[in-house]
Amino acid sequence: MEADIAATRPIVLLVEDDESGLADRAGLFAASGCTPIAVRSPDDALRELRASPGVDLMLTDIHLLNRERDKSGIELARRVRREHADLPVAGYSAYFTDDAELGDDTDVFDETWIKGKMTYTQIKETVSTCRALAVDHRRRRMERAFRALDELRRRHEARRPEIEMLRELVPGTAGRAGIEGALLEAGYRLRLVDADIRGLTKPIIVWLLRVEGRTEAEVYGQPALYADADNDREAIENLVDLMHLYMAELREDPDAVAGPALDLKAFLERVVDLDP
Amino acid sequence: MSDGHVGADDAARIFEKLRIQSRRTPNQIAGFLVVGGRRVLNLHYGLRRRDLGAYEAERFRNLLHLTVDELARLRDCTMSRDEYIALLRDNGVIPPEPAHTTPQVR
Repeated sequence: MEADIAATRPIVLLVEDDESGLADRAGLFAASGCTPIAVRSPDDALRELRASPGVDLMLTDIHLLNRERDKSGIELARRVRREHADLPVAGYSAYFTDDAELGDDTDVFDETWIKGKMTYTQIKETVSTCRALAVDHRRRRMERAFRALDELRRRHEARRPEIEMLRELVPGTAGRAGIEGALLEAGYRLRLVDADIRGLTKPIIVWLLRVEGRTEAEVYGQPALYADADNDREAIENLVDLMHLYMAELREDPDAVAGPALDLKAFLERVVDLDP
Repeated sequence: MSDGHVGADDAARIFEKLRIQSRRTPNQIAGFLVVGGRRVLNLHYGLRRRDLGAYEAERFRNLLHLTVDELARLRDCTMSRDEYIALLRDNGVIPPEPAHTTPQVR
């Protein structure tokens, strides 16, 4: 398992209102072997955390809004602590220059850098520290998942789909480690899509990739199910529309199916509401 | 032309040639290749761009289970629907044609 953890890139959620600063940090994290998800507001950060179960650390600017003494990064960290108690959270600020200015507020963070404007070397130190925290979080998450998987296998020998679902939530495990590692390396992100959108009966997991200025979404394990759009949300909506369209077509004559369409039909019957 | 370029017009022409019974979502056209009365292969492409772009063109080619050269032949009309289906069968993508059963005369 150690080799699997080392082969995967921890996913780091970066929250920063300054676009160029965000892009610079994302570049440094990518270069250090992480997969960054870059967002510019607390709302976007919370949305990403709900949608991406694989995030291993959040690093946020503390002064996120352009108003005096704003500390909305701390409010965000508190909320994340409530909803994701186990997730490491780190904060930094160029606006505040002294720990004393923030007092006990910084207790919510695992690590903080309150030094005013940081040098390049200091920023690289934050990246290194955050990466170590993220890798550690991933290791703990995978250990928990393996324990849960063993328990599920013991209790529900015949219920393969649920066990498959759990396995798929933990990239870098089982037989697909090499493929998943390569996809993560290439910039793909795994995202869980809730079952309650547009008549899905089960959550599905999708790969997301920014390519040619657009987002492409592909259903995990179903390379023939993909769609694209300007952003993540629309790409996923287009993908779910496509799944409904295929399901409607297949239902017209359910027995008249053969070849690769059989696998597609079996998958859609598991996840698409037949009577939306 | 033996490149992998595919425009939306090319994709539409391929759908027509393969007699794909297509449906539309707001952003996509999709349907199944039907062989011997059975749906065997799902195909779709996006409607929002006239040119699918290199990445989506590659995905579309993969859906068709074709090499770049084969896609160019299908797109440029030198490969017929029957030839395409025979190719899928030769490559094991879809099941072989069922043997015709004719009543035996005793």
